[in-house]
Amino acid sequence: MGDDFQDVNANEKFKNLDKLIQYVNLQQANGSDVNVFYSTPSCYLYALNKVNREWKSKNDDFFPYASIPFAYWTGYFTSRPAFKRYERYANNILQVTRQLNGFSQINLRDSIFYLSEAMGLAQHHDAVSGTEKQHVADDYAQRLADGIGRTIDVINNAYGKLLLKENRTGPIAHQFLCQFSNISECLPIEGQNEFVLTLWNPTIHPVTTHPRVPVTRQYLIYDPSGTIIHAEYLPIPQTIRNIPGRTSSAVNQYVFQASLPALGYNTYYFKARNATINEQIKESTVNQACTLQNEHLRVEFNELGHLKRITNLDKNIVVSFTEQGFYWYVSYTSNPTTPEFPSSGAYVFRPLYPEAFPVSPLRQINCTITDTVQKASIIFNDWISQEIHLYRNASTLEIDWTVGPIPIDDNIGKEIIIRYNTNIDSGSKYYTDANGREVLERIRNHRPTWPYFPEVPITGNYYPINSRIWIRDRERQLTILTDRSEGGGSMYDGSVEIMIHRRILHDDSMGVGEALNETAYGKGLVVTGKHILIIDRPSDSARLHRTGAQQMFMHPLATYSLPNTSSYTNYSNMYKQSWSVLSDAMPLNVHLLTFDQLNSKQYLIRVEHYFELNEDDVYSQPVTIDLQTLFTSIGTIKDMTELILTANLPLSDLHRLEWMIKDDQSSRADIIQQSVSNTTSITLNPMQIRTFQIDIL
Amino acid sequence: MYISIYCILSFLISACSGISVKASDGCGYDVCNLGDPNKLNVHIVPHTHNDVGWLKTVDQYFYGARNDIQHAAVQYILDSVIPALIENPDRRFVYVEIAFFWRWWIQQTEDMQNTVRKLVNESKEISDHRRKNVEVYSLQFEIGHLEFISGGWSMNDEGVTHYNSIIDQHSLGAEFLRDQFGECGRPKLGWQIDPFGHSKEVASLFAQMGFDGLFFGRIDFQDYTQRNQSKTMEMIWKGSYDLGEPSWLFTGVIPRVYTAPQSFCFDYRCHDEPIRDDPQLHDYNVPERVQAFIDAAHIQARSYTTNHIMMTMGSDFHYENSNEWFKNLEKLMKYVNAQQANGSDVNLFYSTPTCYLYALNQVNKTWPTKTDDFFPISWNTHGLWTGYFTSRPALKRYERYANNILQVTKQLNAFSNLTLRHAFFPLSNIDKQTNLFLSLQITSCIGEAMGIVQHHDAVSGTEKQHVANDYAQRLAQGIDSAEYVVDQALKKLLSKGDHSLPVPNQFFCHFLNISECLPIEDQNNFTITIWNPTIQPIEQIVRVPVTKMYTIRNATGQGIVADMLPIALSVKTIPGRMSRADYELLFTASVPGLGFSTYYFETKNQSVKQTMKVIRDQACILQNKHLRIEFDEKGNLIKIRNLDRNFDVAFSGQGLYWYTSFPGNSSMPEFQASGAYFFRPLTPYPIPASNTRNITCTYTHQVNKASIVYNNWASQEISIYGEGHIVEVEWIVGPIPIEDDRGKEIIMRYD
Repeated sequence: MGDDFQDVNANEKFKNLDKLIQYVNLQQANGSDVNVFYSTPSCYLYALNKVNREWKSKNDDFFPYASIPFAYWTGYFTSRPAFKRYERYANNILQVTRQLNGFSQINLRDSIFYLSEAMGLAQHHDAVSGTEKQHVADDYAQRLADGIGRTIDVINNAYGKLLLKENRTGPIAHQFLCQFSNISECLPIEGQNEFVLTLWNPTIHPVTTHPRVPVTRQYLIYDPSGTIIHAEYLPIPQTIRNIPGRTSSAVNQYVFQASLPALGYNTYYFKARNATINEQIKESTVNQACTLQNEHLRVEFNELGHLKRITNLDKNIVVSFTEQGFYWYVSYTSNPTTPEFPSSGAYVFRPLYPEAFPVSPLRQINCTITDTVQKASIIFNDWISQEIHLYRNASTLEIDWTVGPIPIDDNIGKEIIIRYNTNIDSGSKYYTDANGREVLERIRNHRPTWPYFPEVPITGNYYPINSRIWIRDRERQLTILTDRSEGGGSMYDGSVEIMIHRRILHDDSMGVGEALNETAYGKGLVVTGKHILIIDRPSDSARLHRTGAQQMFMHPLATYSLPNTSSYTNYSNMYKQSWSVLSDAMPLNVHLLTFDQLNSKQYLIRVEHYFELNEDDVYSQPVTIDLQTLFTSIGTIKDMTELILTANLPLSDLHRLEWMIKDDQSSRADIIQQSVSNTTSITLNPMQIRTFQIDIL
Repeated sequence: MYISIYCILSFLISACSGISVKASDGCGYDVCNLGDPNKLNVHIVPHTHNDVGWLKTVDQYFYGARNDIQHAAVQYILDSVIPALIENPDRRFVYVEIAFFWRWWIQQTEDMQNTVRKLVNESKEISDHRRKNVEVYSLQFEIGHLEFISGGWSMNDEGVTHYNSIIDQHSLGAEFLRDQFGECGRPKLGWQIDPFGHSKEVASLFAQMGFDGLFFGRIDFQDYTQRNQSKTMEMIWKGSYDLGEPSWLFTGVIPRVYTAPQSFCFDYRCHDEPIRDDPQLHDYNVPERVQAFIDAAHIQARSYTTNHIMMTMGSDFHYENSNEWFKNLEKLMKYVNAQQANGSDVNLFYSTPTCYLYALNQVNKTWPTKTDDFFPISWNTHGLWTGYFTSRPALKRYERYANNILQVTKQLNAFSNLTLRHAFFPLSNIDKQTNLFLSLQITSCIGEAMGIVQHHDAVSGTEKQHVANDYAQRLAQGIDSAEYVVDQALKKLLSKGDHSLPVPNQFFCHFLNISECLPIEDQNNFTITIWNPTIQPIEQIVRVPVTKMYTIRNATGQGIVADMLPIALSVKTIPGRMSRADYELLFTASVPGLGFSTYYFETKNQSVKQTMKVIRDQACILQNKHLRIEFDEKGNLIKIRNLDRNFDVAFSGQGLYWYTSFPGNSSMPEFQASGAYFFRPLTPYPIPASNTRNITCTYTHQVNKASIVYNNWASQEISIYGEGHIVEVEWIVGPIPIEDDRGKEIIMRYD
């Protein structure tokens, strides 16, 4: 009895409902069997629970949703890709800020609230979904930006404690974020004689990362041990420099390999070189066939710029590509005579034709080989390009794509996909994750629980890709990790397509009342993003995609500062350049999901086994960890209480209703209450998240 | 939890100036906040304007039905406002239209009624408190105040209403308020914020109703500009030359008709910014809103002469969710008043029109006067509110007809001592013991229906067609209930007492205006009883449409002379007429003052030779002892001569003409269309209904008449009866043809 934003004047509803209930129930005196009363969903649920019956069970999910024929709500999986990425970026900062607050014990949780609140709002089903009006999307983005702005204070207070060496006092140089690093812009460091990059690794495992630092001068870079490291000095691609709104004058960037300690930081000290030296690029080709290769992978391109083959050298696996690149669907425009069939829009993805068109007949390829990174830059046209990176020692391949401004001079809405067509014998099956965790099997033109009539060949096979999608055959699996939520699937055997950007000129009549036509700086919005490709055996893929996805989601956070110490020696005398919370290594299959200081002596943590059952011979096993390991730098755990996931009830106090399904199976779970009174060791089963309130002595 | 406020009253001043203040009630002027003499006092007046029918019918408005036409629901307004007043003792609310309040009231529990009574009459302790404190004293309120102003059944129209019905409809509301709320329920001023022009007689009547003032909203735009500049928005209106001072009435013109200052409307139907006062949330707007309001107050104050101004905070059907209004007003008042610490002179507080009026009264100043009226008024250069003087002429006549029956019914009920007042007057259904209403059928109360029809979108003709139909239906049902009372009364009055025969049922013939009375057709005998509601004896021409010949006996049993005249073709062809009567009997009835005469009709067997002379399409003359009316052979009225006084009035033109209605989309003043409200002819020159006309002169014992037919949709009959001193012109117009896609506005012209 309600609808969107009704009951502003609740009396209107209650007064009439009261009358309706009274007069309908009066008919019982005349034999009516209708009995009406006020209730709540909880009471309805309880009433169902009290009826002694068996219920049907369900194993799969309810995606995709089609509300009426031809209206598949699969467009929103991708709508507003820039905002979808910004939400992940903000979360990355939020989780890091919570950790910094906790491990530095500065108790500034209140300052983090603003970002927590903005993130809470952004989770709304018309926020990160991209189905809001433009001005509302702007507001969500502004809230995240405000929230991020308020975390700066926490980050500085935390580093103020963590960076200074023992016996050193005084204020640290201000730490700041370079939020435009995605377009290789960091204005505050431009032209500086010295600056410091601090990278916080929020995972509990050491990671190797490849920072890119856009510069206007050349620098010597000191690692935490004081060694001047090898860094590549590479031109910033023209496709990035052309992005509207970029104001940086930097045309080069340093790329280097940084190995970070688990749950800790490294700082890299940049000192301007006195003299310019020449670039160290080993090899560069233009429009020639080229190969990127390290000890794990070989990636081959032909002279037309097509990705032809990826070889996993360790496993001796070859995946050939018949095509890899960008295509676009024509957005369907509703015919005024059939308004019941909506246009493609913010919610609905509805292509006019079941085929996607290549964005260009030709492409340019430019390969660059350095010690640290080997890359192929492929330009499709003046609004789409990709850079494929193979880093030193890396087992995965990174694709950075740049799309936009999507042209609309032809008055045609366009939905851009990236397609990977391989010779993997995947049949009609493909696999997509749910909210970044468990993975579901998808079968093209099929629904597990009802006889599905595939009325549309493309959009009905789109599923949400929150972190990964894969196809596989007996020997080979291609897994693609995404840096944000995107929509996609496998439309053909051996093929994966992922929608990455949309610019549409009509509304899909699902409520938002606005065409999804994002612009910035007076042009169509340009979006950049990353896919990580993993080519491995199916049995070996999980350890790469589980760790890879986690590292992308909980990425090292880069903060910069201008220390004004005038020399590396002065700096290193003053500050710790590397620090880790952990003294012992943590098992690879455990993830620290939440580390949040509640008050000076109390913490909330969530630890997670992030492998599924039977995914990996080693890592899909239960694992035991000692939570005290996490608190070594803080103190001794005095007390710990296991809570339910939302941390608002002790797990031992939870009593859920019991439901029966066929064959007398009950939903009742015997919660094995691990006694936590005398040990801080806990065991995690695959995909288990455990939540604890920790009190410190 | 109750919140208490302290309200400073300048009772001492009123005591010294000798004004006697009724000491027992927590209402009226006693509870007024008079502000700060050194500040610009802005009286914030929450109000809602509830049309008693317009786009929706009165009951659709009450329940909130047909919200597809207009979102409006009076029941929820009152449901919402009452708790809001209880919640915050600062709050004030005025209510106007008793037709709606009564509908709401009769659905309330006794507890709720008592709560509302408390809101109307705060508490007795106030007066006790006052006696103890000789100097400035403080009042402690526990709840807000509800006040009735104007308090008519509806906010009556002023352009087309009759004073009899204005008095009745105000008395109906006043009776309800007196019975339910006592002296605190008595309205103290007139509130005519929406009617389209203002009548001097209304001002005079309002003064006589005891009102201390009148506020209205609509005034001619040129007049408004001039008054704005000359600061004469407020004045003393001398309502009647004849009555003098008792008819004087303080009158104020409200700026912006009756709406809030621009951008300060906080109803959901407006789209103005709420006061966004949490700086932590996006779009904090307090400084901008405060400055805009202070500016608006200063601008308004320029047009007025005292340091008090009134801001009407509300509009049509506002306050359905009154929290939206009150919550934002309270923030506005808080933040604007906070600026006084920074030197602002703007002082805001909840008030009522009554308290604003009282504040003006307490300012020692003289006021300009006004002796004419406010008719007609122009909305803009091309929009004159003059069309509604005539719009829906059938409803306008029906309203008069219904009133005629209502007045007669009241008389018959009383003189027959029937005590059937509740059958035509809803308030008499109240149980004096419990104050609850007895079961009643609202739709059958002609007194209530007449109150509703006085509304400024009812008899004015400016409502939607389905609403006009509803008004007519209410009158018709009311007349049916009146018919019952008339029947009962006449049964008592007609009976000689010792006679055993029951008095036959008395019924109305409602269609006599088209010479139709089906129940008497073909009857062998029937009676007509005529009640004279005036206190003088009258002689009246009666016309009875018949299908047979009758002899007629008067009240003393004597046969009387009647003429038998053919019913005019122009009447017989009126759509919807079902009568087979081709003739009507015409006779002169004599009725005593405040009494009746019965005429007995009996079938006559043999036909009587008609002594009737007819002249067609020739010059002819109608003449009796007093008058002589000359027509030429073309049917033109040439001359009327008063034979007693021996003078002529010559006519160069008499007859029906039409103006072409201005067509337009009304998007701009120059495109203003003629419509229900506005009369805007395309050209200033009316066109004759026809170039030629047919004339037929008919002479009988009782009547000389000229029937002039202009065309197949317009005709007139000009008659002199017996030795009468007056000439009657009866016109029939319609169906007005519109095949040419031109609107037409028909006039009768006497040149």
